[in-house]
Parts: sequence; C-alpha cells; structure tokens
Amino acid sequence: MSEEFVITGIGVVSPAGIGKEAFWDSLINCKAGIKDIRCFDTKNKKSRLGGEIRDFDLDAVLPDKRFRRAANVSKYCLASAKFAIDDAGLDSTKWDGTKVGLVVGVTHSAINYSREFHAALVKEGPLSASPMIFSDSVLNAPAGNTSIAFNVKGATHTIVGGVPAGLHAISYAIKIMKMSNLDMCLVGGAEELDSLVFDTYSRFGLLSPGDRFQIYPQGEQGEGMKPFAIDRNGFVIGEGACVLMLEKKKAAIERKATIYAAISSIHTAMSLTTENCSGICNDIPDAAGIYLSTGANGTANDSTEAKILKKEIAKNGKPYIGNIKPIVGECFAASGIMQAASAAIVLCKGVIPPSTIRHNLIPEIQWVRFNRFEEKVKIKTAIVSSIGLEGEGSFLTLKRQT
Amino acid sequence: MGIITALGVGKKENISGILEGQNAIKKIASFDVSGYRGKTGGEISGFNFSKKLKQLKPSRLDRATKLLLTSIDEAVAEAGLLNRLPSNTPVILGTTLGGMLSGEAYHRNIVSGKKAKPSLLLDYLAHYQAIHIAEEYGLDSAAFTISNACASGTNAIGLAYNEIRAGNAEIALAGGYDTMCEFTFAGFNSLQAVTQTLCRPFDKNRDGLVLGEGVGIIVLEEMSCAVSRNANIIAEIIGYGESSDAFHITRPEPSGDGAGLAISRALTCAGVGASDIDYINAHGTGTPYNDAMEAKAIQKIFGNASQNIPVSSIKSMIGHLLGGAGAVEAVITVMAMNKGVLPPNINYQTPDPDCPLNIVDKSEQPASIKRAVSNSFGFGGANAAIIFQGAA
Repeated sequence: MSEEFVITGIGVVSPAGIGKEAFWDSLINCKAGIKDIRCFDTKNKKSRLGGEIRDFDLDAVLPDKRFRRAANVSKYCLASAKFAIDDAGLDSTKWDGTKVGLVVGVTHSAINYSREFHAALVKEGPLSASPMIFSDSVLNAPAGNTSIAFNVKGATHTIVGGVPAGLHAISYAIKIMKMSNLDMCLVGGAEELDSLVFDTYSRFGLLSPGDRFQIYPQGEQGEGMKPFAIDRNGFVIGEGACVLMLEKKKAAIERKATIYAAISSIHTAMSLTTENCSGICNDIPDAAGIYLSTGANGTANDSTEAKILKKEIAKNGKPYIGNIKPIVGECFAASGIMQAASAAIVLCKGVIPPSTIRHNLIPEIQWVRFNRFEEKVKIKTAIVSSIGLEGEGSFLTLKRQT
Repeated sequence: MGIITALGVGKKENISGILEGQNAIKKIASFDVSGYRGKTGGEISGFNFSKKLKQLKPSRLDRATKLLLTSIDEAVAEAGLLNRLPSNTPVILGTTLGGMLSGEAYHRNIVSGKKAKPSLLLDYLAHYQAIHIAEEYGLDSAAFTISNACASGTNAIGLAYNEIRAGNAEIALAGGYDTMCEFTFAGFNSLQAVTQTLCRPFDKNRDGLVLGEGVGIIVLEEMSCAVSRNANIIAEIIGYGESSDAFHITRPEPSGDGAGLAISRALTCAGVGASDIDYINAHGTGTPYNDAMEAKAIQKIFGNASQNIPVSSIKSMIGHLLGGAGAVEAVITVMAMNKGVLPPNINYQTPDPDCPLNIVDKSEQPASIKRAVSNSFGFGGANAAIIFQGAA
C-alpha cells in the first residue's frame, strides 16, 4: 500500500466518552462505559450489562433539524463524522464534495427503527407504516445522512458485516480513494443498542452473563467481558460510532495536517487461520515497537486471534497489547474503527494505555507485554485485529509518521 | 452469468421474456396486500431449491441464499468453473435486505407472543448470505456485502471489476439480490412510491414503481486469465463510475448532477465518449422524481446524442429488484447486447417533455450494440454506472 494514505482526523461517540479526548481519557484511566442497560428492559435476562451511551445530544454537536428524527445509529455516525472533520482541521462547507468519499461499516444498523416499523405493521396493519421511520431504517441510512450533512459527493458506501466490518470499511475506503481518485475519505463504523439484538445474542449464549462490571483503576478486571481469559464467558454488547478522516499523505503534509498514523497494510480473509494469515506482518522489523489493538471479545475466536498474532509477531519480540472492549463493549462494526482510532492515538502520542487484559489468560497470549500503568513508549507500528463470529476477519497495520 | 427474476429461473427464460416484452408483474401472492395502495409485484413463482449442499443446511437458509446459490451455479457453470472455482475468489454482493424474510418471520412471532426459532436468525443479517456462499463454495479470500440501497448490485460488480483491475483477484463472483417481503412493500407504500396502475418508466403518466425480487450474478475474470484457459468470454466491462448526491435520504438530487457524475466517471474510466454508447439501460423506476432526474443526467452527459441513443428500463417488466436491480440489469444488458436486440420499456405510451429520450417503446427491435451503459441510483443518493462492451 506504500503508506500513501494517512489518518488526519478522529471522531468518537462511545459509551466511555463522547469525543476523542473523553474516549482517550477513559482508555488511559480504565474508565469503563459498561453499565446496567436502561434503554430496554433486561429483567429476567441472563445479562443486564451494556456499553450504553447516555447524555448524548446530536444538537450540541450538529444543530441541524434534518437529522433530529434520525435513528441513534445515524446520530452517532453524524456526530463522529463532525468530530473527525473538525479534528482534521477541515471545513465541509468549503471542500469540493466530489473529491470526498464516505464509507460506513454497519452490522445491525438502524435496527430499532426496523423493529419498530415491523412491530407496528404486525400489530396495527399497513396504515401504521411510517414513511419517516422506514426511510431511516435502511442499512445505508447512517451513511446517507452523513453524506448529506457533510456534502460528500465523491462516493458514499455502506459495508455490511459482523465485527470486522469496520476494518473492511477501511479496506474499501482505500480502494475507492484509488478508484475514484478522491482526495479524502471519511471512514467509520456505527452501531446502536437494541433489545432484539441483545436477546438474539443472549439466546445464542454469546453474551457474558455477569450482572456487575467494573474495571478498577490500573486495569484490574472485575466481572464482565474478559478477552483472552481462560474463563471468558462471552461479550458485553455496546454501541457507538467512530469515524476517521483518511487523506492522501502528500496532500496532508502539504496542508500541514496532524498525521496520527499511516495505513501500511490491511489483510482480510474468510475463516482466518494461522496458515492464511501468513506474512501479514512481514513489514515489521522489531516487535518491541509494536502495539496490538486486539479485537478479542471473550468468545471462542479469541484463541484464533492470539494464535495468529503469536505466529506472526512473537518471533520478533514482545509487543504491547491493548483491548478497548472491556471499556466500550462489543460495538460490532464500530469496534474495528474505535480500535484503529485508539491505535492511531497511541502512535501519535507515544503513550500506551494500561492493558485491560491481564489475569488468567490463555497460554497463546501470554507472550505479549502487559502494562499495568500507562507508559510513554515510542511505538512505530500498531496492528489492529478484528475477527467475526464466523471466523472472518481483518488485520490492519498502522505506522507512526515521523 | 446467472439470473432469477419473476420471468423465471435462468438466462434463457429471462432474455426471451425481456426481449418479447413480457409483463411478469402480478398481484402479490406471498402476503396479504388488501390494505395497501399498490397490490402488484414481480414475484418469483415456482422456485424449487434443488441444489445438493456440501456445507450448508437448507433448513437454515433464507430464500435469498437459496436464490443466490441457484444463480451462482448457473453463472459458474457457464464460466466453465463448476467445482473448479479457485478458493481465493472473492464474493462481492449487493443487497438492501439480506435475509429479511427470515428476520420478519422471527420478529412476527416475537411480536405476536409466540415462540420464535433462533435458527431463523442464522441467515437474517445482510452479510450472512455472502458468508454462506463463501462457505459452500470453499472460498476463503473475502466476502464483501455492500448495501447502498438500489445501487448495491452495480456497486458490487464495480468493486469486483476494480479488484481485478488492481490485481487483487483474477476471478471474482459479483452480483446483487433481494427478495419480496412485506417490510419493504409496506415501506415503499408508506412513501407513496408504489404505483396503483402500471410501472411506466419515463412515461408522462408514470405514477410509481413496482417492487420485484431476484438475483443477478456475474463471474468476472481478468482478460488474459480467461483467454489463457479458453473461457467463453461473454462481454467485457470497460468502465465503472460512482458518486453520491448529498441531497436527501429518499429523493434524488433533481438536477441530475450526481447521477451525471457517476456516468461521466464511467465514461472516463472506459476511455470512450458519449457517441460510443449504443444503448442505455436506465435505472428508470417509474417514479416521477427518479425518471425526470435520470433524463436530465443523460441529457447533460450525452448531449445531442441523448436524442438518439436507445434508452429503456426493464423494471416495467420485472419490477424494481432493489439490491438485485443493478446486477440483474447488467446480465440482461449483456445478453441483449450479444443478441443484438434492444430490451423494451413496456407500458410506455405518452412521451414526457421532461424526459426527452429515445425510449425503446417496442419489443424485438434489432440493434447493433457494441457498448452499453447500465445506470443504478439509490436511496441516500448513491449513484453508479457501468459500461459493457461486446466480446470481440
């Protein structure tokens, strides 16, 4: 990929903070956004926990009445995009929209609106069908709304996928930037909490049954999501959005933008194995300068991820490891972008948040470096990994810009 | 190529039906439409899933996946790759609904207080159909699902085309699909976008679209790779372009600038001019907004040539297949090109001064089609255009 694309803006709406600074502060201080879910009834459920966003007001970020009735997933995406554009020092009212792209990864998208629309249809019949809810329930509503808000005319895409959909969106954004010769591309992932989704994963036994959760200061872990742990028992569901601004490196340097990181490579495969991931990190000389932003979520696939990372990286030394999911929950398509954002900030700041994973770990991950406190380390490379429930996944490599 | 629409299963039935101008639109049979404005649609009737599966269980599959598997078999067989599809072939599909029929069935039970089978959810989410296809055909490279509303099918073929051009793949499976479900039917009815009479794209008296269902699949292959294995090359993709309107979540940008940008990008990509195009397979939904916008876009990009280039929308015969539309229309465009016959725009009676195009109003019209454009536009302002050229 020759490092021609760089990240110059980050916007986050997460259960652990609205905005990049609040999100980073939560990572550094291990302040989890996991709570007892309030937005739907969890009585008699095996789990009550969720990475729920509260006190979020789109109007405070983007006062535009066209989006006041949009689904939460669209609102999270809109606010994250606004944060990313502002963070990049850009102004969407002044750019040539035909040179700007947008790719949004979603898993369930506006599932609240889909459920509400269909429930009204089943209970009350065709006359109850709301055109407003229908038009904002479609899978590409978050991307559509965001393109409208920020004058994105180059290309707008929605990539649907499981947990790795966020990294797939990055891969796709690079492709369309090359294909349509775009100057820049907003790339994000968005997800919203919903009772049907919660019930579904609960019925499949994928949700952590813990009913209390706490990450103590310095990253000691209580009940809840336990990535890479021997006694892991599922994930805690989350919501939110994260958007990155990708630009051509040359243009970013010319306009003196802050460059968080460069996209070095991205490897995607169905059914990831140690064999078909061979060579994914070949361009990494020294593992001592690596930060792993892992996507493990307390499910069976954690060991696959650990094995691949071990086979590809352990030969070069001990990288630092991070995992944001105990802080924000499993935010599906938004997770990969949030992981990439955290990794990009690590590369830019030269600071590593405390590891959220440390106790009772599977042997396949015990070769990495766990830091109890935040550390100042000049990391050269970050690897973002994301594996879906069907074993599909991606590995993204980011490099620090000097 | 593989295709399933309301006209039937397979290329033979579809191309003969289309070129004869058969109307496959009937009263919807799969759910009660008595409470809706529109009552008709392009449903696939008599589809029996007979494929013997190696990896998947039929009882766990949504109708969408069954249609896809059938269509992919047809496409792969025509490409001479049955049971020989390389394992690194990416699957790139476009859809708006995924396995919505399964999701509807599950949720209907929940809402009605009945027991809902969790197995209905195994093929509900829109990315699972591509995953299941990859699983069944033993493909371990990548399964991509694009959901850009009604442009999805064309976007999927466009991505596959660019993956091959970029050297990321030699062969790709690409296409689009959607099924007829009440959720969408109710949605388009609530938007008052559905006709109560006939779907008449570009006609002055057009009053809405009619929904359909189906699948279109294309096996794309890098030219030298296809030549070296003596494959039967059906057509060449020579250009693809896309853009977005940044205008409204359901309405198209009325000036046609966004759609025009996608078409002009496709022409630039192909390195051909407006006068090199012999046929335009229009998005042509039959709604007042879309067709007027599309006519403007065609006029802007093709200039005076727009008076002469034949234009038609096959949605008048099979309905609007949403995520399947672009892919099915690509298959039909290529077959019409190879047969040298223009697909008609049935139900066209009264020319609209706002759509001053050369609409193909009769069936079985012969024409020499060397290059054809297929347009697709979707909710959220997604625009895509693709250009095909007959095999030399």
